[in-house]
Amino acid sequence: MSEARPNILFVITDQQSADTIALLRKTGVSTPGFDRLARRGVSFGCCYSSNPLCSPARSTMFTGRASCETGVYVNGKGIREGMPTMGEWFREHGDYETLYAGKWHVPACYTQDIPGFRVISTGIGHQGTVSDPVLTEACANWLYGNTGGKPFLMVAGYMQPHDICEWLRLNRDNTGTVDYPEDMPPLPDNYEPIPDDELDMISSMRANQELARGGWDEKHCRYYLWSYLRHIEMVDGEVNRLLDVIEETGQLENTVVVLTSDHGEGCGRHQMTRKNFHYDDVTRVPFLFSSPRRIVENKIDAENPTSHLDIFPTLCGLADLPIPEGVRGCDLTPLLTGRAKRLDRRYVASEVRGNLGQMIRSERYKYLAEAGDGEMLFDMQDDPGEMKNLLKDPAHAEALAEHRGMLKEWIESLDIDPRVPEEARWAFDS
Amino acid sequence: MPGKSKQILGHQLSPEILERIGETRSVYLPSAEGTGAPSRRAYRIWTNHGYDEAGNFDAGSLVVETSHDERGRPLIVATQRIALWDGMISEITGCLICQCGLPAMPVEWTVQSRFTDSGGVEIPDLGRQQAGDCDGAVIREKNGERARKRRVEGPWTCDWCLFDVAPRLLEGGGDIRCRIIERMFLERPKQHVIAHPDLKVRLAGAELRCVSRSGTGVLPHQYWVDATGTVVLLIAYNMAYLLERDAEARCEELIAERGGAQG
Repeated sequence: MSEARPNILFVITDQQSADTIALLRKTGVSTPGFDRLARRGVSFGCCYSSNPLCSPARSTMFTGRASCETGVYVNGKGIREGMPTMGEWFREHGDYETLYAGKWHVPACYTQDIPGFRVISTGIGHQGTVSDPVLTEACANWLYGNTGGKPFLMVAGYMQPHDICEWLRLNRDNTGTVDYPEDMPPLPDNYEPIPDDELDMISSMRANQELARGGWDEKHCRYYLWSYLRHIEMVDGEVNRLLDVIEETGQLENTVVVLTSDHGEGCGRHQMTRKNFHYDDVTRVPFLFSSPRRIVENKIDAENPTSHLDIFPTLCGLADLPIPEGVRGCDLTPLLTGRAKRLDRRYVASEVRGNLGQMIRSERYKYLAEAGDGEMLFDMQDDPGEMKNLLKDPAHAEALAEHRGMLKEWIESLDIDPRVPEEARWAFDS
Repeated sequence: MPGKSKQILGHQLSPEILERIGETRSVYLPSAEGTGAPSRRAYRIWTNHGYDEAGNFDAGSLVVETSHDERGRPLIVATQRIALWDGMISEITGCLICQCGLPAMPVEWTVQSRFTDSGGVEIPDLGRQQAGDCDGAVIREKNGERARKRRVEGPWTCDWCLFDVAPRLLEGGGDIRCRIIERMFLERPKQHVIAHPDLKVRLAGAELRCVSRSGTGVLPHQYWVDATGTVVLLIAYNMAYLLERDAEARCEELIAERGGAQG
């Protein structure tokens, strides 16, 4: 590589659905920070969380391996011993100064002990309203005082919009008693549950969530959506300020900024809230890369399926570092630099609840399978709201067989951590 | 904590709910200290995670000192300390001279931001000193050696100034639409601060009246003000700032507890 290695600012939000960036599609929300990133670089519109739960998703971002391989198959587990992580790799192979601020959650939410990183700020509780401003402050202070030398890899692990979980607890039982704002968004088109053939696991999860238990009416659900967008704006403001500091300190030209979220939020679609299932609002996440000299500007890539597994190898690619053996994701650098339009990839995968719940996303279809429960198949081009399960539709039988084959191929390729108990593992005969 | 419940609240925070779950027990009313005099108010910063008595945490303290400079302009000194989970401390102190009228736009200020580790030692490369001024149209500030200049359209203020603005807004009535720069660091556009003189609650034996803040990037905040013009309670969505005599001492305890836990 002829030029110096770039600085990297890796921003992780928590529980941010893909369709929350004003520039890309959402109305009713103001996101100048995310918009700025989208304008300056490439936005992947078909990026999936590799496991729509905090700890497992994060373990995959920092290793490029599936969560059942990292051993972080549920919250509260640490990454498998001996598996190289991003901080260690960039220190060892790129002589990077590696800094981590904010939420980690693999396993401890906030800790000084993050492999390969100097921790510059932690947080408090699991709460964004108090932790996130402190995080921005720490990162900004460090950037203002940084005199150069080594390139840096800085991770800013924001908690928002995760506080929506607290909002849900604070607003579960007050339907009809709130002074509702006038500018609430409409209900989503796919507000109703799919009429039939839904996985039992998802149906039973819905029955225990706030909409059902709180007896929400449609107005209250719209208030939930309105409030979620305010959480999005909270974290956007923090990110926007951090981007200001990157510019003020003259680092813009030589810094790669990447932003994603560990998973999304139910957003009332299919009358669901929270996470831990594979409908799109929960599993599809923002995925933005920008760097003025390295990455093409203002490009939306909605065709190539991508995933959290791609972050580590892509950052290696952008920094001209080798990619660790066993990493499952792709280096997206050819797409980011405009050297390629298509990845040589047929699908991305995601898992949940150990690897009992599986998702295969190809360019056209999304296939869900739940061990001991059933399957669902959606045509994401004709039915992006996932309202019609095509499992029994003969017109899509070939696609179903093909995606079953992809799942088999994916499962058989995994090097599952021995710590994952048998009862949390996929079995084809279950 | 043994014996405490962890039930979902199900309803937004309000003075009544805080009282019911026992969080306002130490709130005091400074009525004997006189109206309009220089004041020093210490608030306990408490975070709520959607639960009843258990599952919530103290975060630190905010001290707001209000007085006037030699030209009669409001002078606000705010110090916020947050005791992080692992024993690190974030401390920010702002000293702001503001315009006399509402919304008390800062005209000159300094901000010091620093972090200390779990042993109480300042972390040298995580400090920042900011100095700034505003002539009404342009904000000029320096963060360390980095200068920044930007135009501002329309009125603006700082969130710390709202402890001064809220009581004054209640006296005059009405509302303000402005930008709010939180901690003189992060700008929130399209904010709406409204006096609600008829919205009253009783807390700690006194009547409190409300000023609300809403806008981009915030869920509604409520400033509850007593008859002396003191903000006694700020409910900021899932946080509360409670006026307590031992707020700073409690923060010191937190720092010791969390530092000890890390060590």
